[in-house]
Amino acid sequence: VFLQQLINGLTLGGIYALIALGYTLIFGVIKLINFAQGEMSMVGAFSALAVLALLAPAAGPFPLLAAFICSLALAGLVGIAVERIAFRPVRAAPPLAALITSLGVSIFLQNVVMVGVGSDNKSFASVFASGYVTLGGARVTYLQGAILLLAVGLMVSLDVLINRTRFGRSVKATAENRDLAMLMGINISRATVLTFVVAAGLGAAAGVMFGLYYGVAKYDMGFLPGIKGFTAAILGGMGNIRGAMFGGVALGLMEAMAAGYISADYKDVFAFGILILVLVFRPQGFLGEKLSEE
Amino acid sequence: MRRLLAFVIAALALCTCSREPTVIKFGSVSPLTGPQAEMGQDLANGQRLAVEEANARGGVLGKTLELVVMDDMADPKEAVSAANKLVSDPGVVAVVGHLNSGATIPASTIYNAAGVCMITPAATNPKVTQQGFRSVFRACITDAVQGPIATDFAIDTLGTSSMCVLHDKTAYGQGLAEQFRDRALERGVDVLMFEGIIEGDRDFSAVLTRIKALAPDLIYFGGMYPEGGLLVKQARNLGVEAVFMTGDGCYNPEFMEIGGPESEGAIVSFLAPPWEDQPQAAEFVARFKQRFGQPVKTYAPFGYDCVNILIAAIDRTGKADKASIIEAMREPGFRHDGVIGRTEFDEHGDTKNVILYFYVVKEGRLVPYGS
Repeated sequence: VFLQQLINGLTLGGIYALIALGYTLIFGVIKLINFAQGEMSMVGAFSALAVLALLAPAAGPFPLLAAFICSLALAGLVGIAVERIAFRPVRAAPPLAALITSLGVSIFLQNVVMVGVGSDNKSFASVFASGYVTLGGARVTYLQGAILLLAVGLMVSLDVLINRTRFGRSVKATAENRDLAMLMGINISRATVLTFVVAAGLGAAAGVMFGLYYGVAKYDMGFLPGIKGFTAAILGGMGNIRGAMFGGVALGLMEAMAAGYISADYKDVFAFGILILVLVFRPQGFLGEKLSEE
Repeated sequence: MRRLLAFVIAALALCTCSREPTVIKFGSVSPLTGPQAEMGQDLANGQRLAVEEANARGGVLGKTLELVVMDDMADPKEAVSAANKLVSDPGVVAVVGHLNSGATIPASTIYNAAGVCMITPAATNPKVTQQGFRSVFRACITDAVQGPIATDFAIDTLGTSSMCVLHDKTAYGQGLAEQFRDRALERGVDVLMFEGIIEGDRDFSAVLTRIKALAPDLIYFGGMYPEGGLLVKQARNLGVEAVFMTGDGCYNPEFMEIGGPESEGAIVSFLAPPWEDQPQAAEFVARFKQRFGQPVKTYAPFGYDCVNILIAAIDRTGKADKASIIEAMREPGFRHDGVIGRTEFDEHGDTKNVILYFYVVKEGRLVPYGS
């Protein structure tokens, strides 16, 4: 039973971690929180749903792959738009302004989807091979396995992207000191936009996984995971990439264990109770908060 | 000039006062948008059909019947604001609504204070009619009736001897689950777990893993189909083999849509018979499909009958004012034979028409149990 709860928690944690990474990346670079991050997963899930519906007759892994890539691309575009519309115009304004514009974007996106596709649950057809392997008495469905692998893969590639590439260096430099980075000839606008694209893509990937895992998509599906991802980012230290990964997995595990060993009634109470404790006793998060110092 | 204007306005006002109104208005409130829109639309369409048919017959007391349709989004706050709007319209003499117990209970206070008759077609929480409100009626059975009948079915027909009971912490879901549990305890069946989940949550694997370890014969869920579908799906994926049983909130095609092939074999109790197989409903089912281009889903026949019950109350006294409708329905001899059968009210305003049917998911469809 413990192993099963562990696997449940890890799957959930992987999804939370991807959303948390989006928050943390954007916070690292512009020191602002993008509350529309949860909606990226909603946009991702719905575009995957649309692509899957279009390619319905085709069999094999192709539709799934196409759906995944399309949803990442679409979310990336939405990410660019969010940066242009909600953040760039208020860059000189107090931070509260950007917080409010991003909340506005979040509500706007939810309502566009609600009006456009309706407010009920939309189901994903079971495109993924059903079946499972048994690991020491615990069941891991193929889908859970795929989610875990993909989440780890995305996190590793992000780590490489940030620490080993030119783009990563420009992001870190921008996070460290905007003005100095600009003086050093780094195109900080481009670094910021690209950060939004990467963050949106991670959110969309989480959304597609979420949609496939639970089999449903709904216009407000991004809200709760968004808040959980935000919690996870704070848990690990806002602006810290490895912290976000750690925070996401830790939150997923805590939820699974709380619901599994204490009571399902208190699942969210635990998740957010921990958030309050962390904020009170270790406001910089478990792993500190600097993106630039990694 | 100003005096002249005032005079004209006063004259107009007098004019409208003295003229007898030519329409009778019924309010209609259900969730037309939001997560339960599908059921709400079905319910409202049933009412629309009844009103259109009444008008085609020449109206009620020679007046045109008008349905003032409002949306409560299954939200108690919206329900109260809709109720306030309806009672502030003096032309509205009675209301059919609401769908959810959580929305109906606060709204009923407003209707009762305004002396407007409210008949709910689908709110099953016992509390709705236990507030001592004279103007509140209900056309469906309560959870207090549904829960125990479902428990007996689980024990006697399905042979259950141990169970886990889950609910969604709403007035409806928790109420139903409590009734189910209490009857089970009364009959000496092991209730291994009684726990709430969070409405709108998607991940129930933790609590289901715990249930798997308890290995009950049956899982009962008091709640609606979005969570019900996910529960049955995740339970099967975790290898939980217990029978999955739930109430009327999951009687919806979406339950199988969300639950997928994993929902096969789930048992759903519902307040109404399979409409197509009922001789008195067959004609209604056909008319409904012709009018709206879609089949009867769940509560349409209740909506249809509720409007006709109100019409019957008006016809009984020949008066279409608020108080007369309530008094007519409170009379012991009041009865109405309709699509859902014979409706008579007891002293609480609850129907005496006890109907509960059991369905099982077979090949992605809800079919009557045992057929």
